Amino acid sequence: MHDPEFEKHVQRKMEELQFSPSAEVWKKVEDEMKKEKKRRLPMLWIFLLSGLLLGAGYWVFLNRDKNISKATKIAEQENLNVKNEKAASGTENISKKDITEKAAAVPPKKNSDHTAINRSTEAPKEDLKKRKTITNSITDRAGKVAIDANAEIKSGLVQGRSLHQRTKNGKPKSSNADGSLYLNSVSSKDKDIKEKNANDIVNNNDHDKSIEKNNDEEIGKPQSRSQQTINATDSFNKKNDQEVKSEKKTTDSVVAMKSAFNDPVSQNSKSIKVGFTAGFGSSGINNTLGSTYYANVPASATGNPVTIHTPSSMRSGLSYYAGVFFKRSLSSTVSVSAGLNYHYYSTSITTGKPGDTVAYVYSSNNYTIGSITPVSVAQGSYYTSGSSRTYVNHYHFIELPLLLKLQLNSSKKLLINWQAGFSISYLLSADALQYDKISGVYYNNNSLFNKMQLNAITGFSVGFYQKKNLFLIGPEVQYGATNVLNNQANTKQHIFYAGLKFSFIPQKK
Amino acid sequence: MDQNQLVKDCLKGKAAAQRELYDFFANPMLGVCYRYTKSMTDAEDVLQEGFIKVFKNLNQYKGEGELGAWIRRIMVNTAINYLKSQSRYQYDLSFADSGLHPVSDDDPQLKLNAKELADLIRQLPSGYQTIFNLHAVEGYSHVEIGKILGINEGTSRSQYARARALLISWIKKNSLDNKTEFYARP
Repeated sequence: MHDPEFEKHVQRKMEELQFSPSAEVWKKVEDEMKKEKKRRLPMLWIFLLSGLLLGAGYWVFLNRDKNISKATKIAEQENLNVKNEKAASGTENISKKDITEKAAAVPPKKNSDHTAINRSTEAPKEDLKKRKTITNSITDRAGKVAIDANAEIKSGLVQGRSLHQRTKNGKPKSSNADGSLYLNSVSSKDKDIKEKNANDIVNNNDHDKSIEKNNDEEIGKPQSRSQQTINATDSFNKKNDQEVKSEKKTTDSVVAMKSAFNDPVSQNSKSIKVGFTAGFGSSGINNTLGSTYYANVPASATGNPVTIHTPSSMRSGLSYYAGVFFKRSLSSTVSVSAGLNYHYYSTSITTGKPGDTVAYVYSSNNYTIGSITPVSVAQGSYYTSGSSRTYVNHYHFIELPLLLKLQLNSSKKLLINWQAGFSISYLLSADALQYDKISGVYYNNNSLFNKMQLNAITGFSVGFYQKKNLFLIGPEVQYGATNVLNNQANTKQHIFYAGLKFSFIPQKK
Repeated sequence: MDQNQLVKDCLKGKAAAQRELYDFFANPMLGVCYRYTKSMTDAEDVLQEGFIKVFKNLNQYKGEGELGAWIRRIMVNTAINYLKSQSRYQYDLSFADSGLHPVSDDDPQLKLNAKELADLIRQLPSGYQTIFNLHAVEGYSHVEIGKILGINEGTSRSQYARARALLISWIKKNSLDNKTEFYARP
């Protein structure tokens, strides 16, 4: 037996052993740390920017919602004001407005004293008939007070402007009672059109005046009613012009918002919709723990083979996810979506009992080097090989899926979609066990995980509308394109998921 | 500075904290690396590699034990990996049980300084040197050494005995040749 005093002396002496390293050492360490920092930064930025984009998209979506309601309220308020104004000024204004509108729409008629406006010569016959009716009604209704105020308010300024637009464009458009078609049909050129219309109203009126004057002279008897019409038109057009200007912003918002949500074309091509998604199914890893390890069975330093233990087979486990996504339609059948999900994966393995002594495991399975120094694992924090218990490996990911969706049928009621894309995911935490084939123990080492993952996704879905809300359901599969474990582990593990996906896109109100 | 705070600052990526931690532990850790290698250049290479590992894996340090002991363990592991990966150590790093018996079992009283003793240890063949360091200095048992190096416990034990005896004989010889009292027999 050795006298342990010698070892104690050696230990004490070696504790005193110190040297000052050269400056080069720190420089190299520092350089390496800077490189490491640079390697990590891009991944951090990818997540930050993705999060920012999603946040911005959501904010735009919410803001749009607010604008719609705000614009609608303002429009309603304006209508109420018009109504009140009309009520206050009695029938005169209504009469004037009515007359002006209808006068503006009347095709030229030589024998009529109200055929002052002649800009509709190319109008279709139907429209001409309508206008004739209107012209007749002007005659009938002039001087009368009984006008349906509600109908006027409904048609209101919007209809008035619609009529003006119609006369400018030279093409008739039937206007709905609520003027929605006008709103829907307004494009991005609306501002210009409206501004021009406002001017046209005045210019046309001047033109009207001259025509009417000529007509009067032609007939040889100036009509007082004609003059009244001119005055009324003047008055209304001035007022209308002011209203056009004052309501320009409001109407623009309403037009933009309504066109976005009511116009099928705009809805398909421009709107970004928010939806919610969830799924559940089964997840697994396509490889047993450290199976590639066998390809590199090491020899010990003495040349004797190292005893290799066989790990438990890895079984599938429960998996589910939930998140939010933003969808943008590229056409009536193609759309793209980006989202943010929390995804839980699990697998299960069979292990023995928790170890009751300190174990030594290799931090890397790359045993071809044959020189990895094992690290100690405290008793109770690892499991021995065996079949006495089932251990569930949990993986928690945050995912950013980007999907392209293609509608396979043309039905508007039952949508059949195929979707494909990928997701970038980040491992938030995991308690999955690693297996050390030398010592034959299962232990935890999160440093072996590859935090960033890239998954390929594909699936089908069937969609249907329920109370204008779109519901989608269908099978989906995901496959991890990147290794779950990093190079240090020298083991290829790819996580996969198969399950049912549910999506819900609420309809905007 | 409080070591826990230092670790936290290092984890935040603060270069000043990393430098402070390095300055605090570099000298003793170079001593550790020196014992396992044959040259100061190699020792510095191991130190550099070891500190990179320390900073990259500092999040695994839970503050439960001495930070110095944790870093030291990393240095030892790094040193052993380094020896195995360097071809010039391969031939020397043989743990085959030659069946040799210890030539001496004397336990001389140690009177040499740290560097002198370390230099003698470094003159041992790498296999002996490694086992001697792991057992006599780090305090690993032969079972643990066997697991670390992938050898049998018995091999580790016999190799250590051989290393120890060889070292003592050298010390004696050195003492006689140089008339220096490295060891003084009672």
